[in-house]
Amino acid sequence: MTHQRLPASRRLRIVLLSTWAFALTAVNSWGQSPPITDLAFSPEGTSIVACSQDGLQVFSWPALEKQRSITVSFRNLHCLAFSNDGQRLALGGGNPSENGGVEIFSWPQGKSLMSFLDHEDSVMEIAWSGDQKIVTAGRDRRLIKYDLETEERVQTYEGHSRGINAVSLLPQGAMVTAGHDASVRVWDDDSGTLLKTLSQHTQPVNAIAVCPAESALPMVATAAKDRTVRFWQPTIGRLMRYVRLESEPLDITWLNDSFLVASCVDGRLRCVDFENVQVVEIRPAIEGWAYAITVHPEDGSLAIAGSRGQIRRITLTLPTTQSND
Amino acid sequence: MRKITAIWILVALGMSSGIAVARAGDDVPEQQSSAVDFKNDLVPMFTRLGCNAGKCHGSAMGRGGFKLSLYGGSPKADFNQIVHHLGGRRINFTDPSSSLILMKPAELVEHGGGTLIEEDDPAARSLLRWIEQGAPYLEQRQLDRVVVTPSRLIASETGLETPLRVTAYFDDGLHRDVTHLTQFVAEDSNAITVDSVRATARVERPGRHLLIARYSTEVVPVELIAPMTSRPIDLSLEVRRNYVDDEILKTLEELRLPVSTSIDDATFLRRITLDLTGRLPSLDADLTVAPLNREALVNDLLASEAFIAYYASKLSRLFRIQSKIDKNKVTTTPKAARNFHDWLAEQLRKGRGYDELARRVITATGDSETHGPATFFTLAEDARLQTELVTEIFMGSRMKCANCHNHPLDQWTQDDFHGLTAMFAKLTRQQVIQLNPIGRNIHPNTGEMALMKIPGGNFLPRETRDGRGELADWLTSPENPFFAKAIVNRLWKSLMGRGLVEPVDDFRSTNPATHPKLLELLAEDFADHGYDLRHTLRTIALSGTYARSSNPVDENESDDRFYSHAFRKPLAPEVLSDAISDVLGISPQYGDEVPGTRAVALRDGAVASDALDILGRCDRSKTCEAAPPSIGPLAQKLHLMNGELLNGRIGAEGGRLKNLIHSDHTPSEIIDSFYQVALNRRPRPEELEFFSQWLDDARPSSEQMEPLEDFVWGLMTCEEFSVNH
Repeated sequence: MTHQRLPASRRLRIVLLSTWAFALTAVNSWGQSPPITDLAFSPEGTSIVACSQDGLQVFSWPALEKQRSITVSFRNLHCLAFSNDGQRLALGGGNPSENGGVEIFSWPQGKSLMSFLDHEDSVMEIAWSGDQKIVTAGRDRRLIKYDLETEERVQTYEGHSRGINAVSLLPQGAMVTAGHDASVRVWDDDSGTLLKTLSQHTQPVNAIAVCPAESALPMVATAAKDRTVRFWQPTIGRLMRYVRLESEPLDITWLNDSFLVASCVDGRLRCVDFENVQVVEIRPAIEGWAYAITVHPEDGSLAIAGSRGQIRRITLTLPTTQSND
Repeated sequence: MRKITAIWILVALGMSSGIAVARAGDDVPEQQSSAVDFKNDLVPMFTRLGCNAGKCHGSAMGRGGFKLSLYGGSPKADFNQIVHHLGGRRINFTDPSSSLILMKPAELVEHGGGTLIEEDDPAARSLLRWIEQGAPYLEQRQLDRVVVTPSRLIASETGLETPLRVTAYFDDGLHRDVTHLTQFVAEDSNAITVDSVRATARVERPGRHLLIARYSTEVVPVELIAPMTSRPIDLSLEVRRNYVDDEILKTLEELRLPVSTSIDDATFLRRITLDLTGRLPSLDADLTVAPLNREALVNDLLASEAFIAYYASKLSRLFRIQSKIDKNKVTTTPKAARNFHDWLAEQLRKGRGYDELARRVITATGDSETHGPATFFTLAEDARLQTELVTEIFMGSRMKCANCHNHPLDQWTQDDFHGLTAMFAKLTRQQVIQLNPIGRNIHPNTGEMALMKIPGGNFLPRETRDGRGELADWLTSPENPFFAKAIVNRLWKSLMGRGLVEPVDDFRSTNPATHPKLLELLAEDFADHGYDLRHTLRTIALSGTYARSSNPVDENESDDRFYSHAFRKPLAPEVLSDAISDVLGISPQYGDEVPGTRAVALRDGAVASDALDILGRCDRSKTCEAAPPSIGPLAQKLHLMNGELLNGRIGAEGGRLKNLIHSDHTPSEIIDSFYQVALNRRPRPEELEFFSQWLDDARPSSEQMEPLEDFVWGLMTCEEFSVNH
């Protein structure tokens, strides 16, 4: 594990500013809440939506008070994503080993607009392509692109040898996927052609996060069961660097161009300095597995969720470089 | 009153579980409403259903994206797979009965493994109850041991059904009946029929058969015996020269197996000479004058240089000594290989105890070309293979399974394997063996540096530079349960043709000895006598059991492991090659060795030799423990019949046949001479009569070369010659 003291010139201040806000989703009759599997801030930033076997639940932000629930067609929910214009919310999931699909809701009304049930196992991740198209990644090893305007399936991508856990679209028309076969794959989004297969991970890949930095070559980070976070320039198939964590990262998100946070199996979040590939901060977040982490688009605070329906709010000062000594 | 008290004790201790749990002697009814213990209730259930077997989700890659540890070796990892993996999709907290972990084995959704449980099965109810309880990880107590009743049964006849009962004893003093959570697997499904639902076994064939009972991480062998014959037999009058005979005859009586007769002196002479020296006996002994003093003979043979040469060769084979020249890998130079062989011979010559020999090998450092035992650490290509080699040789154990997962049939864990490997990773693996401070072994489970560990014992302190001294201490301790048994079992096999544990490098609880008490006694006796190889060989060689005929009687013909008759042992390739040379009077060339060098004296397993290759010598790059086939491969037979190995030498100038012809021996004299040297007996009248069809004493032998060559060829290819019987 790489966890060393940084040179003074790059030493950071990551400070826990406020006490943690905390919420639990509904508790069933056996006193058990199902795990929250994904999170997203609402476009207006005043609430956060979480999905689980209990459906979709909306909490106020930052108080984390439950506001409402929305019923979804599937038994298990694994992913959610707002459209770029913020007017629609896509929810993915399925009935394990039977089928998988995506349901589209209007936002903020929460009215079901349409649903697709074409996968043969659960949908694990969704990516929006503009405001009219979505790509779903399934446990059935397939990716399916839908046109929401025509409500038609327009493309199927096949190539992964096992279930797909993550999908992200890059600015220049490429799509990056990763999954249980330990591969990261790069596709031509339009034609569905597989462009590259990157095989450096040794165990299933759990998540992908596209770096917000604007550069000629897009960069993504991937998090895997092999406990590594790897940084890639996927369009040229280059592994730039990697860091091995003490605990398996389940989800990752970028804080800014330089720092990334991971939510891990041990319930902690780990902040990674991309440039030095060092873990610069470890913080306890929830008890159990932390399946989802997301960063508030305005204030940079974090929401982490996972086992037993827990959601935590952690407010960090964004990492800054110090120039003393 | 007593039951009520027991229940209150359980409640007060908070130790009640979903299945009956009781203190010894108490009888507490099953309590269905209490918490389900994941480790002690559910994992064994997955094993019983076959979910975590190697052919299913217990395989290295899992199956269908769902991976369980092999036979539940890592309950916590299994818990994470079931409860947390893939966003917890296998457990449905809002509708427990819709959980994938329940629907799959019930085949309510497609399941490659078929239907394993019905909705109202106890297994299904346990699973459902556990999910309703929140699918917690509960491990209320640690398993101490498992007892199967009966552990050994001698049935009066085949076809009788035997109920099986399995009791688990835990570290808190509680015990419970876990028969319904136990998997029973017959080693030979044609010999034992198991009814898993009723937990009964039925022996279908006479003989000794094994049933493996597996509960949680414990595997227990159950020995089921059906007598070979219907009538009891009395072996009280059989020769009993030492404890070997007592133990062997005791088992034979249980099995109702009659014994074959004892062998005559001539047969004993041939048998023991081949077994202790790898040579045919010389023609010096005239057994018609006086009976053979067998004890004196055994002592003479054990004191001979021929014994040292032969047993150095055997140890050399055990240690897999052979030179390897590969510029990219570890190199064992020819000089280092010979040096190690010579060192082993020297230890035998000095009568060094096997414990001290092992210690010197295990702790060796230095230049392998000048310090023999250092060569040991050049023979394996890496530290993990070195671990396999060390455990195979000194513990008779196949630990390599534990490289990837806890051993499914034995006690070895990945920590054991990688802890031992960590010791050997601290060595440079070149011509000069020395400590390598930066050497390390990465534990595949943690991705971190593995700590040195004594197998089945403690970890060594992190700062330990060289753990081999501690390893040698543990290994050669009189209390060590593996070391002495592993070598005496090999010695036993060397003389008796079959190990008490077979294969000899596969000691484990699920592969018990045919005669466990005898193995114990041999090991204790060996340790008590300074780990002296000669002492144990002498004890076995002088037993009545060793001197039993290899000709079976009617009722023991099918015995292949209880020593009611001697087993016919094919001569080892090196011994056979030397025997052929001795009979024909012409030796093959072995590599660049001096002409006339004996095969058993070769000091490097890699010496080039077509003769040894044809005769099937062991490729020492892997274990040589597999028993040679009773009938050689077809190619070997064809070579013996048609190839140059025999045909090129039988009639060659300077050979025995030509010399006898040149010295004017008659065909009958030649036949008699070859019989004595090859088979160590005179030809029988019917054999002489047979050969008289082609050979005529009235004519000079030199005119009858072709039929004489055919006679020698026939002698060399007959089983009586190529087998120690």
